[in-house]
Amino acid sequence: MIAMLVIVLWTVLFVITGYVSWKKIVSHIKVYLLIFYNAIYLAGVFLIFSFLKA
Amino acid sequence: MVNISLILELTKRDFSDRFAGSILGSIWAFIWPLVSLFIYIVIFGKIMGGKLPGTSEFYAYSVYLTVGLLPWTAFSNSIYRSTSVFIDTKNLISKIKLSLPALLIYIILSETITYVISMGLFFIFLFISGHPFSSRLILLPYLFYLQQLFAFGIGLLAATLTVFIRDLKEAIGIMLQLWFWFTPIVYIQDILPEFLKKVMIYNPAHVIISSYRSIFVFNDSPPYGALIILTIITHCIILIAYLLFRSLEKDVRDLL
Repeated sequence: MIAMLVIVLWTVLFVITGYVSWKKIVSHIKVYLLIFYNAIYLAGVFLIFSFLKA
Repeated sequence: MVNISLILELTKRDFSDRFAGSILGSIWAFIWPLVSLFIYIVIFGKIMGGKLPGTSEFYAYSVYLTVGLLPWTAFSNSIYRSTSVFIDTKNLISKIKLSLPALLIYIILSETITYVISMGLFFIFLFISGHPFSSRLILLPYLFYLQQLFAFGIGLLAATLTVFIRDLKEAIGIMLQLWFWFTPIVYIQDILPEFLKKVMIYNPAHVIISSYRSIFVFNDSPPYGALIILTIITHCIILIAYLLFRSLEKDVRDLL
């Protein structure tokens, strides 16, 4: 339950950050930024699980 | 620019075109996975009597086989179909100004729909057969997301290069066949020679499929460390693929 809640919060944080960055930045840097955010997000999900469900 | 409505329309059309003109229409989308599951569960599990060492559960091998084959099918189809996506949609590309990498998304989405239908039917089977469910099941969407991101990265690399080297599509098909048999999907890892077992940790498909199996078959934690490393590698591949595409984009559009 705690893991689920943390994952939901983690997802909301990255959805908002990703959306705002995508809308505000006009140049191609936003694509690289999105790839970076996504890597942090997904690695974070597995890391959260490994800590909370171990 | 990324045109979301166009991608959704292409996904819808890709899915409906497969069954266009048939009497049963979209019902075929359920019949195909149902037949596949029948083969994995009844033919391999019951008639051929496939057994998984170390477990007493009757359907253990069927579950082991299905949780390997369903993700692999989505993964390999996503890569193989992405390889020729620029060539297949060249009429569209010449008419509408759109982001070419975004074209791969409709293939990934279309394969995801097929996977979701198959998994839905598989869950019904698990439920009926009384298979125990692990709380780690909430990891399932993330595993699938990671595997499809990996397919996207490889697919974008292949799609860009296929415009220049048309033979690449056939080479990718062969590579996927070899990859399939090199990964313990239909067989168990224990039968492999020692040196191959050691190499297997470098096989991304094995990391993903063994994670599915940890959740579904062994009720165990997936290899989180390997998944984190694979996440980083996947995003590096996407980054390289995108950089390559950007450097060749003008030539790709000219050649198409």
